[in-house]
Amino acid sequence: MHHRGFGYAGVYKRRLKIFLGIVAVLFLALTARLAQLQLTQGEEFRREAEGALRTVRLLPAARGAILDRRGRVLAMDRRGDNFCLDYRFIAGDERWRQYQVRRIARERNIDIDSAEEVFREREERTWAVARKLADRRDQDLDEIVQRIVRRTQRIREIVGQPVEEQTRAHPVITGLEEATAVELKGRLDEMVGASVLPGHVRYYPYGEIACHLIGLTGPVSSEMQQQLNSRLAGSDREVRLRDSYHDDDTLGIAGIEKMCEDILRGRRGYRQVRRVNRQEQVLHQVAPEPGRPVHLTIDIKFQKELTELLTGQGYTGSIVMLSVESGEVLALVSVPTFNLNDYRRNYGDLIGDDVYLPLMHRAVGGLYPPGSTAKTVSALSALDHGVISQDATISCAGRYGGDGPACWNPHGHGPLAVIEALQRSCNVYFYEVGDRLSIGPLSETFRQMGFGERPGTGLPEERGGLVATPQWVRQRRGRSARRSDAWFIAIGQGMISSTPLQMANAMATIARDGRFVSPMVSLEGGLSRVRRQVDIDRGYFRTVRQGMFRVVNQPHGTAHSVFRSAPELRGVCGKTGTAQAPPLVSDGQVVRQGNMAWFIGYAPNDNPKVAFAVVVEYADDGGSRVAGPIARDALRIYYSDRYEHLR
Amino acid sequence: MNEGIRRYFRYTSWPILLATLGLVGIGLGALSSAEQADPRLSGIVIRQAAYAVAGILVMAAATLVPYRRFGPTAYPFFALTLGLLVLVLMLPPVGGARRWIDLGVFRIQPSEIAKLSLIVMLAWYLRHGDHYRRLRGLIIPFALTFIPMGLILVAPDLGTTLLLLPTLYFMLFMAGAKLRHLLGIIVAATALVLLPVPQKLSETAGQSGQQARRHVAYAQLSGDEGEYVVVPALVRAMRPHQVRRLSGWLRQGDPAVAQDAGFQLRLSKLVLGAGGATGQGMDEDAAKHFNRILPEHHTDFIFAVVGGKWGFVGCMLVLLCYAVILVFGAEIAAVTHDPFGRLLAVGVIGLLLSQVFINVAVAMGLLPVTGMTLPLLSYGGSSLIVNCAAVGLLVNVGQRRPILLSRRPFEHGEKREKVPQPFGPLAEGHTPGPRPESTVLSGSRPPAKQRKSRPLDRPSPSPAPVDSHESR
Repeated sequence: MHHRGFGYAGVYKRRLKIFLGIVAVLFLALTARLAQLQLTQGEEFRREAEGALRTVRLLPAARGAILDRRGRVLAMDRRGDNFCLDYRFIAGDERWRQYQVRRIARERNIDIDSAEEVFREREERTWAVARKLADRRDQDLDEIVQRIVRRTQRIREIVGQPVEEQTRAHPVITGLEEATAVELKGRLDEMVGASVLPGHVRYYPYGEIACHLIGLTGPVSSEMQQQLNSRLAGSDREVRLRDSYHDDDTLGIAGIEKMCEDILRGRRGYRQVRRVNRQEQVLHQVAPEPGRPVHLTIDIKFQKELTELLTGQGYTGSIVMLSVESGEVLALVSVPTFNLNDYRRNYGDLIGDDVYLPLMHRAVGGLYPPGSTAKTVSALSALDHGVISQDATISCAGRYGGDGPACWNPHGHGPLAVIEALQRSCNVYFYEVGDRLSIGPLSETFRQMGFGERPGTGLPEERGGLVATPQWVRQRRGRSARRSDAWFIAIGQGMISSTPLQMANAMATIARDGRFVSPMVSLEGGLSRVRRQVDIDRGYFRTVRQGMFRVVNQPHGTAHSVFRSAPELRGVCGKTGTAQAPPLVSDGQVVRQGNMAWFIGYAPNDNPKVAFAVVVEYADDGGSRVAGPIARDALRIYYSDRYEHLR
Repeated sequence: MNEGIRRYFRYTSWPILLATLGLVGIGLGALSSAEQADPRLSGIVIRQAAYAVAGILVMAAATLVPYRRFGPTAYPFFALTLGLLVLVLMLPPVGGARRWIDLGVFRIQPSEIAKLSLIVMLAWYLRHGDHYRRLRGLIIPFALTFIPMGLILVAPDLGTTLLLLPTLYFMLFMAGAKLRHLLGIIVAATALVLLPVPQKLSETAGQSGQQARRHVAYAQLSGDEGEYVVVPALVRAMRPHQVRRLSGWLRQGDPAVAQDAGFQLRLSKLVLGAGGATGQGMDEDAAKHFNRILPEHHTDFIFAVVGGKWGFVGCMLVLLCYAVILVFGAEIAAVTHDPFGRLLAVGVIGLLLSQVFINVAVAMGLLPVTGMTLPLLSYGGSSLIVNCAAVGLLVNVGQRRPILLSRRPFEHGEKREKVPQPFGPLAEGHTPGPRPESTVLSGSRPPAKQRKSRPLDRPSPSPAPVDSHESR
């Protein structure tokens, strides 16, 4: 028998049966799996499918505006162009990539490998463009990208289902200049995953005026996020969704923007969407609550004119003016300034300038030795503690004791009572006052007048300065207080420092005959205000006020010559100060030196309305010649018709 | 002649034809869902219907000429197919791949034709001789299969490539190649493919591609020059998107992978699973949405669309139709004694089984995504027409089955008549024999119960069914 290819026909039949057996096994496997997917898990898949259709879109809230006391806009959200990258591009979503590659292949009718090549080129170009834009602003692209990824993941965690953040474009470089935006738009075809989309940028119409007060916004750091979000721990999902901070969110980081963050920020909204077939059905929507505006107590034009008084002379320093009646700050000038709109671009220069320190808010955060301006408080202290009386005199021979420190007038002032001592700003008189008081009682009075602690506006840059107590000397200097410590504190040198705002507020307190009111910079936000009566006899305040009146209005007053030219300003009370300060050293070199020139006071003498403090840093002359004219000009502006509403 | 037509219809395997038509109909129904879901696909139902008409005509035509006539054309046809496969690689790509030859009105996919061509060629080559019972004899069939495989792999079309091997295997298996050879080759190939080889991670592009390689790696190493993974040799050779598919399949439970590399698989299971028992899983819009975003829903993942639309019932109906073709196809293979016919039948059902199993298993996440159509259901003219032609050939073989002119063997052991019969009823030069009632003809009848262990076995050893090749 001749078999073709078979030992015998039986093998073939057997194998056919094996084949059918294989068919049976395979089809059974398919059926079993089918039953598992459709019958057992069908409901599960149905729920998953429904869930996959739903997505949550966050609706950003516009940040509130910052207005001055006349309602002028100082800070606002404005439409601006952002350079954006698609999240799927950033995250290297392979599915998205393949989709793009296929699209390129289709559009240019090339095969997949060439399209891959085109995609890779575009990808590289996109990153290069983004990096260039970031470098131009001194920003770190990698960090920005990481922020976007973290933010998206965090939101995804809160929502617990896919969010639109995962499929949308995220701003990488915000607030493009118009020319850049136009150029980029023209190049989008050469890139992949990139877009130029409108977004909100913070805009400051007055640029550099009141820059320190208005403050800044910036991205939230990880530490800040943790801190801010910990407040929301335990809240429900909606609250966390609306109020939590994520990378790339804007946060006030300085000034009013920081102080009033909760008012300005608003609450984001969200929309739960069921998206099928490119059609959307809104299942649930919570509208965003835009941030509320914050009204400042300053008048921006007034502030501008005062700023120019300092910048016009090339001075750095500060001018503070506040309403005696209400404690409202009318101007809070700190020079040098910087343009808030260019902050990001110039960040490197600004932060690196350790000579002029443009980012420092001098009015509330600059600590200066008060110099002779402190004598007003020292006089109060001495009167209050009974170490001097209004009429008792102390004689100045140009030097305190035989070999003690000198008076600024080497010839001496002769015998002086407290009023003349203030009028002429005699050092020897106040050395004696300090000696008699000693550091404890003296520092106690300074504290009562608001020194050594924050004035309480709530501004984050606010500092309290130093008023040394005996304990402080022991702790910090490792010795007990000496008599000479008190001498110098009494004339505002040594272990005492204060900010211009503190000084202006002390003037307002004196002008109110001892009623201390913490100053305020905004109608909304800030700290609750402190109002108290300083525990010193009102008569003593009147004595000090007489001395301050004479400083300006009588011959031998240290500021008399300055104000003689301004008869309309009769009635201004003031005190000059020429504080010695160590030179500013940078990189081992003296970069700035001179006196801290002060002029502080209030006006008018009867029924005071305005208190002020002027300080000019590293002046080559004293308070009367440098700060005095500035204060005089500032008061002229204050009394001009333009600012009638401030009075 | 009248008698001839009568026989033609009598020996036509109607269950196979009905199942085929049923599958094409179900396919058209599923495609209408796909079309509604995806505006880019508008017109595919009409086109597929036209292909179906063409396919049915081709199928009918494939039954008209006795299959043995195709034998001598097997080698030229195979050579022509190879020529087309080479041609397609030289033509500009269509839609990003070099798979189609664009004829303007119609695009031909040579790899689909290659499947059928290979079967016919192998059947013709293996029809006589027993050289493939030696290990060396297997070289030529394997080599002949590797040529189109290689060409299709370059295209690139992994799915079709992978399909040719099991088909070859089924045919060698049924042709009588030694089991130890066949199993030995499988073991050797598996060992080779799984051989651990190191690969530098930085050689693979993209974060996601590297992640995918980590997923399929045996081990990860950190060397001085960067990070290495130890991967199976096959993975080393695979293209990045293939590795990603593999990792997407291996990590079906990982939500990150399901969003990325395993997206298509996850979506397929979602659409299929949500169909439930009868297919009212989702509202119309949602169903459209998921159909639209499921890549290749009208071709490689049509089974998921069927599952979403008609649920478990619909899927089982589809599987039943395939089972009918396979079982009745096996019957044809069983009753045919002409080796060429047998092997042709075996090739067709082997190919069908491979395609159906791999495609459906992929759609349900049992196998990694390869990219393969579901025969007779998926959209695509070449695929549909070629599969129709294959079924037509199967039916053709069945129509030319040998007629047993003996009576059924009954227990009383009556001696059977033995009438020489060169071919089946429609064989050339056939003179109608005795009345068919007295013959054992149809596999649809219960087989003889002579030997319990071999129900498909005809009464044997003698007198054997008459066949010119087996007659001495």
